[in-house]
Amino acid sequence: MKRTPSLLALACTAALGCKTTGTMDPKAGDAAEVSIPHEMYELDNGLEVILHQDTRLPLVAVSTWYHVGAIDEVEGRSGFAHLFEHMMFQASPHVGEDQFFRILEQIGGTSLNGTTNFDRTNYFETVPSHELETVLWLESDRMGFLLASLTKKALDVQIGVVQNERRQSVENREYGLMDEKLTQTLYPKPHPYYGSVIGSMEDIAAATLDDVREFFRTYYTPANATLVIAGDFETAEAKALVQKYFGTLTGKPKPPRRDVPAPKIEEAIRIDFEEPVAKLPKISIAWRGPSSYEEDTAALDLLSHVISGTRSARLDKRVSHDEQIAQSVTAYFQEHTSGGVFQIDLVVRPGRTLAEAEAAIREVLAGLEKNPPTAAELKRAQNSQETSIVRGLEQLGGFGGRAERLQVYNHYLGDPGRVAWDLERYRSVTIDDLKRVQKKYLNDKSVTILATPKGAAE
Amino acid sequence: MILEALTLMVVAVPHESPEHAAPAAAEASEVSGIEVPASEAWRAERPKVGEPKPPRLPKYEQVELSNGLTIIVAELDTLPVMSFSLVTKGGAMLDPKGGAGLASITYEMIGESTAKLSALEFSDAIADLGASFSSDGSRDRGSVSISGLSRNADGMLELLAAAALTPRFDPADFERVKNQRLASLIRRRGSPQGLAFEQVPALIYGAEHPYGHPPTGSVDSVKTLTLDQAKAFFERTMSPKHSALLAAGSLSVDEVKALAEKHLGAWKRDVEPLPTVPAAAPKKREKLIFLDKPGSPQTMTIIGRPLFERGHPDEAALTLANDVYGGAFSSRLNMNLREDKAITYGAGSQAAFRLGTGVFLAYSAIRADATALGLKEIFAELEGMSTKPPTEEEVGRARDALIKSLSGTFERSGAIASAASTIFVYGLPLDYYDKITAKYDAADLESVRAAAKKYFDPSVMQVLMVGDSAVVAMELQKLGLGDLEVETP
Repeated sequence: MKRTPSLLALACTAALGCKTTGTMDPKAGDAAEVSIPHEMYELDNGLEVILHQDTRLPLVAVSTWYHVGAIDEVEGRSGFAHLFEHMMFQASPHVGEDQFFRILEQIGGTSLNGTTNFDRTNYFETVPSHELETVLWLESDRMGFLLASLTKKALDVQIGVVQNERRQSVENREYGLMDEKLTQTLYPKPHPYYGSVIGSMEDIAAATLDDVREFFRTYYTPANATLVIAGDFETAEAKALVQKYFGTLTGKPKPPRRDVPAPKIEEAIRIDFEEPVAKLPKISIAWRGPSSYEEDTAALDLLSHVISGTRSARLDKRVSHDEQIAQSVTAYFQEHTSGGVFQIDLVVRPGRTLAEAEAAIREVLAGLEKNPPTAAELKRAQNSQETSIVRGLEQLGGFGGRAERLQVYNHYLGDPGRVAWDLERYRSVTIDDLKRVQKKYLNDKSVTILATPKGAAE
Repeated sequence: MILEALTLMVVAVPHESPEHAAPAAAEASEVSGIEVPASEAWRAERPKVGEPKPPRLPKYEQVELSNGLTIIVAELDTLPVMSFSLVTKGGAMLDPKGGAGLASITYEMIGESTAKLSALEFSDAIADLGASFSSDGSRDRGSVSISGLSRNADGMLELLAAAALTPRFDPADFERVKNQRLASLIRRRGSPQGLAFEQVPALIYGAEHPYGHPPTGSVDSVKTLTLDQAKAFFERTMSPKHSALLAAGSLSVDEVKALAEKHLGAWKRDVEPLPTVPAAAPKKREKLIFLDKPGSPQTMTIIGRPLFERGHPDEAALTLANDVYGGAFSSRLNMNLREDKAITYGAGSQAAFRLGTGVFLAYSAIRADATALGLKEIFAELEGMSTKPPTEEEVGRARDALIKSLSGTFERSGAIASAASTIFVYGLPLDYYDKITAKYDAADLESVRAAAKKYFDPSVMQVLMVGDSAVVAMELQKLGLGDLEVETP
């Protein structure tokens, strides 16, 4: 279930410390800064460690981020960062084959996964708190020694699995190939985002054991990783365990973060796309936005809420409520290290046309310039944005949980303690900011892709 | 900001637990890339951990309003947030013949215009509180839910009551909602998975059974629905006696009761008792249903059968057996199809319990040219549940996984409110989750093996596939699992 409650004002609680005096009573609703109390330090081998203690539930979440993603891929090896992520679940020498998931499942692990995106790769699990040492044993074994038990057979199997993943999530999914085409257009070769994280079938198949070894040595060194432990533990004990399992791991120094300039969209691009899976036409319009956490990113987020997301949002009211052109409509801003994307997606209802949909989108945007967002619209957007952050903090680990928040801020901003700053960056956006960013970014240099289902004439 | 927009996961669906024997020694590496220091021989030993702390589960308290409305509250000491849900028994199981989707459409009308507010005004009122609202009619229940900051609890319950007790049933709203639903149903038929799950209920239960259709309905059934039908469904089902307010968050039971009295206390309506859901029996498979979607690179494959009513004595044993078969990443099915054959991104199964007869399903999207192999292995693993019965170790791991993950599944107020809904709708005791450990402990190896033999019988598993028949038809015929019936959706 997706929830988006809100209102910035949050009381302090035992788990989320207070920067202002604030009350500890969760029933109070006075504005107070939210923070995730933590301690950060570094091991001699360069591994960053962040501890966030909260002993109310007998749970501990462990989140390991490697500061490597699709952005580090080279020509001919699209999809490699993600394929490598799959290899991290193969046998490590002391744990053994097929044991990683088995052990975590048996000890009651929840929120258990590994994920790869454009900019980073992460691994996380939440377990009963007395099993913290088991998780550190598992995570340290693959960080330290994965290559010692690497096999060609395991690589071949995971190449097959990832190709199936590509079939499932791209080729045989509604609009999957259309989305890939859009990404390729927004990030033309040789930009590393071109491969959309999953990569091409050919590149996935081309991966060799030597590639895996080289990638591991370069990017999976302790100096390029950050370990977050969040939940119920004794600090001294946790530090001793981290030292025991990770302290003696060795590796190369931290590789430099790759500096890839964000590609510019020089002129309006239009693409007609033949959609092989879905039954309804779809239009996406995308504009180049600023990179992660740069100025204007918060304003663009909020602008997307003004445009879409509630029944009375400008675009939703027009295409869903009043004219009923859309089966679904969304607007969102995606932040990435090398160039963000502001995007509007609209799936067209049977009997309506892509032309009507596009005209409606363009008119709504033009109307927004003439009649700028109201104070009420801005406020609703802020509420929605802030509470989506805050509701995530209900959980220690998993998607959007406290461990991930610490990791996100550490990776992109070099400081895990930015949750209050992040909330403030939304609070401080003004109507003038919304007007300014619309003018600056949502200009005529956009990519428009129009998907018509195969066999259906528009 | 959307950070997860282009994120790929190692596991598509979160699972619970284990697989078959064959403990795994690491294979020798071809070229050892990294040396493991001899001084750290201790790494070869899995750490011996201490005793677990007792799980911390939500403590549910139950009170009743004078009008008969049940209130179940879990007070939490986390964030100053509240989740409320007004849940009513009945749902898509009450859809009339030919009118599949009625419950679902009726609940969608809750949350449109109310007696006092237009649909747009209602939506803005929710947004002004920074709250989030949803309304949904599923098989055995309908839910109207709102969540947000605790200090807005009064306003949130006022809006919840306005939506659930005084929907306007405006004709223009209805036309819009209905057209929107039709568009979504047409869209769903384009997705291999959507198409498969639209067809599965009728295949398992028979189209006439109350569970024999998807709660959302079909294009044909939704076209026939009228506003008067939705009004009548509302009048016939919504009553305090069949409903409960579920609350999880920072407010105490007394605080919730006072707010509920204020907003829901005057609600009165008597309704007929709910009908019972007729039992559905498994039947021998006669054919393989194949929905043709030319050009598909994968074949969406689902097998399934009806089970038994919720509360049946085999529930715990079957849950454990299902974990061994396909209910976990490390299950036999996933380890075979994904990690050994590499013909899928994932394969899984579930045993779902309902008011009436529940359902077992197993599913996988299989590479098109390996479809026959995949289906053969899905069936081989069914056979295996009898011929290689679950081992002590497998069952032990499944039991551990289910019991030890309990605390972790109750981290968020939304999940806590949702579990309370299950308690109410199925008439379970308030301490149901506290006692679930004893239930799994009581299901011994014998009973799990008996359930494995009884419920994984290959002969009664219905089969539905969506893919390119030109690629797979010949090989599928050769399996001898039934004649292929190819349909063009």
